[in-house]
Amino acid sequence: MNNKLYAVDEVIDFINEGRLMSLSGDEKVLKKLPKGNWIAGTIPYFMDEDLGKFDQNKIFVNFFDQNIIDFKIKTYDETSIDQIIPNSYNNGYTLLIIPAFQKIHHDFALKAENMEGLYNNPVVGWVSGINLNSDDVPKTFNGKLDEEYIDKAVAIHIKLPEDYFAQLDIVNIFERDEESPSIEFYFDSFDVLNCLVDGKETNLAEYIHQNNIDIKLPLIADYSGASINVSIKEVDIENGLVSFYAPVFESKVYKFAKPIENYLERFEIKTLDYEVDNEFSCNCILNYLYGGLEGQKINNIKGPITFGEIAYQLLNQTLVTLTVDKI
Amino acid sequence: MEKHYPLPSKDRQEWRDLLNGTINVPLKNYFFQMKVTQARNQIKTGKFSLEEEVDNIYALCKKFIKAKNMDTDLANIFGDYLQEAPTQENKQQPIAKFKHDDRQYIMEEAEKQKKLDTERKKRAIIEQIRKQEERAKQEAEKGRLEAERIRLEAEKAIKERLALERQKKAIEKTESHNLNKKELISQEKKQAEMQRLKAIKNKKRKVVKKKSFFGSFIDNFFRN
Repeated sequence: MNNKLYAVDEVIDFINEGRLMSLSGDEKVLKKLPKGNWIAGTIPYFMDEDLGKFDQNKIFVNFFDQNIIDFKIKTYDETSIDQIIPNSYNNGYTLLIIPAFQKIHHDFALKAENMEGLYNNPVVGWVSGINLNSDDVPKTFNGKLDEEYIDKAVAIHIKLPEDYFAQLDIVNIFERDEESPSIEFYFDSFDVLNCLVDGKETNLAEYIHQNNIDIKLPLIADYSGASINVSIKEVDIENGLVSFYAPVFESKVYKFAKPIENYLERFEIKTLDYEVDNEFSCNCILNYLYGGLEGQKINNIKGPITFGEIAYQLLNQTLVTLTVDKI
Repeated sequence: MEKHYPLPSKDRQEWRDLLNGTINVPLKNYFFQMKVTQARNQIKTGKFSLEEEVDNIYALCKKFIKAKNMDTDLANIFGDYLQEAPTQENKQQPIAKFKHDDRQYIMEEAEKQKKLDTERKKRAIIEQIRKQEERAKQEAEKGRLEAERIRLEAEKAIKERLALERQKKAIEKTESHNLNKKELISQEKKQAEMQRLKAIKNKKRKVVKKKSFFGSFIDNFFRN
């Protein structure tokens, strides 16, 4: 198993050998692939084995056929997305790719936390995107059916032998600023007008504007020790509206993140003990852009740069990894 | 060989304290962090009872007990997790052996035997007294153990009462926070806020003064 960027011809060979893969690449190269045991999402940004890079000609391959005993490739729309849990195996994991900015993207993000059995097995994945300097549309592909979608998610459900188990982990380089006010929201949403800032009703857009808050910094909620980011997409002063890349939840208390001086250094410190060839990892396009990760290397971390990361639920500005270990 | 520590019993109060928020240590394993958060939320909203969530999380912890940092988390929750059980060695007393065969020795032995018989009788009496004392001691020990049992039961009852009080306080604190939040966020206000949000989102946004780089891109993307 060597997860990295490959030329299209090499990927076609893997497909013809029957390899089980998750692929990421530009739409133009993914369209050239034959039917087979693969799913894919569009993105031309990667952390390859040598450097972070933009590449529209190669395809990043994650192989999933080691130590597995069965698999299923499925397509989901917004009415069936909650079936990802019942469709998974008793012992295994699910790799999910969702197209960005579609209803299914929002629905999954809002529903995931309440899906029954969500934590029975790891659900890992990413949100497909596009070249930021193009008019392309984020897409997903089901190689088994030879179909591509703009509004549907694709998944591989993997069954592992009883003596193996899969585990998820995240690397969040941001920390909650304990000096920040506590921010609470009225309902679960991607968009916010008013909220409670230290218990006082406040328009969030105005608050961000008046306090000159750096919107490259996410809001962070504490999940029993895990820092979960929600990144700011837009602050619309005229309408008093703040939009996010993931939903904020009514049940959580958020704080702004502390500023970061060196993204790369933070990632390097936090990923020192990461395995060379874990099953899967992905990192956020915002980290790639704000941290200037193009042309840089972060230890052993490889994978697509994504418009959203999935580790049970939708995350922002976070590096996600999946490993499979023998019990 | 890697050591395997069994998951602490489901009957332990710490599972309940973890899920009702009385134990609020920051966890390290990602699965555990997310599952505990979800369980607390589902108990709070009444979707599942505390006992249902204890069953659920216990089964999942059993499955993922070998996952990264799980042992650290369990040790932080259950103070005695990862502690070694003390070992005891049973030692046998050495047995001495003697061997003599001369006549003088036999006579001496006969004399010795007499003395021994007397000695035995003495010993029997001493043994009888010892046994009586032993019985008395056992009775006293029994009494002590009974007293200890009563003390432990009382201690357990106090601990349970304190745990219940802590739980009650945690619930009261949460309820008071929720009540405060509810006062600020009435259902009508929530509905009005949703309506206002819907109206604004439907309205074409003309002036956007501050936007992230990526936000500007997405805005242009959808405009195109």
